[in-house]
Amino acid sequence: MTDSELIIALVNRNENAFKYLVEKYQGMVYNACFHQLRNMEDAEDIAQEVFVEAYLSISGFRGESKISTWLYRVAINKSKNLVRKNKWQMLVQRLEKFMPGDKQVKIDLEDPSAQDHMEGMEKTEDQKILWNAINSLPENQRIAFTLNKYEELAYQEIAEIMQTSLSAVESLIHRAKLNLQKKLVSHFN
Amino acid sequence: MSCLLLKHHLIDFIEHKLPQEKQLKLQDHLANCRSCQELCHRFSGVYNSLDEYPLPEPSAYFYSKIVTKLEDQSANEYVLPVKFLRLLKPVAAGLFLVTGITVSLLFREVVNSGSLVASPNTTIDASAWANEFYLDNNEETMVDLLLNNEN
Ligand SMILES: [Zn+2]
Repeated sequence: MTDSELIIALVNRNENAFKYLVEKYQGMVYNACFHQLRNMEDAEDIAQEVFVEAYLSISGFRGESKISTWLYRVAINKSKNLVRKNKWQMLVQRLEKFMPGDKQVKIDLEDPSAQDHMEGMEKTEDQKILWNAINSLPENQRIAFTLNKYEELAYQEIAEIMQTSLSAVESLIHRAKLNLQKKLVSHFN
Repeated sequence: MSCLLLKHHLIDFIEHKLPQEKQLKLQDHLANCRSCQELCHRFSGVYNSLDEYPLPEPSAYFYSKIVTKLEDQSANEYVLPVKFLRLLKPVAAGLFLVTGITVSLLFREVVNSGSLVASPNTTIDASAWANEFYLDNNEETMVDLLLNNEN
């Protein structure tokens, strides 16, 4: 089934077509969410939300990009929102530590060791170091870098997903690599 | 100098993404520099650690959970009109008021312009009006009698 055949069937609310869409892209969407969220439960929940949105808004899909690109875009945006929400909650939790009677007053949002991003997974020390280094990257650098390294997407597709220019993606990935090098090398020293 | 260059291009070097000339230059350096060998070994171990990790898979209930979410979503759509109706309450009250005022103004205008007065071609049965609002002859007589008796 081609993308355009699939879209027509989805617009007509064909249940089999929707099932086909989910089966074809669930791994891709789930992995993309997982690489952004580093939490299996959140990744599954957000990946499901991606397909719910796909079902509800398929009539608005103009077919200017591939279905996979569109799904990636929804996945990245939804994951981004959850990361922001989690960061906000974390900030509130940490601020609560300032409440009288609590001796823990250290606030360090960038302290990666304080967070377990790979909940539900066994991980080596090396993987923890890398996860935390990636997590400390600025949002757009992190997204562009993970899409390139883990989803193995070309810069042009990343530009379409992030709705930015090719040169902006090149620059984001270049800066992400420099930052990662700096963080990892300083970790070894 | 080459040690610094390698540190600056570590990821591209590991991924073989440097221009060939630079890549070869750093490879030569690496062959002779113990500290860069160690750094490169350690760095690539960490950098590639996630590639070796088996990715988790979505659960077996992935599709059925999406269907449940869609059902919840459509159930919520029935709640929406109720919410909207609540919002529309003041609007409806306003509309009702405006309609009332407009109708009364129109009615007054119609009365004032005399359009309710019978045109020459229309005959109004006066006795019918009288029958509605006044006593008939028998009733009048009865009333007269009563009044006179009282006097
Ligand atoms: Zn060296």
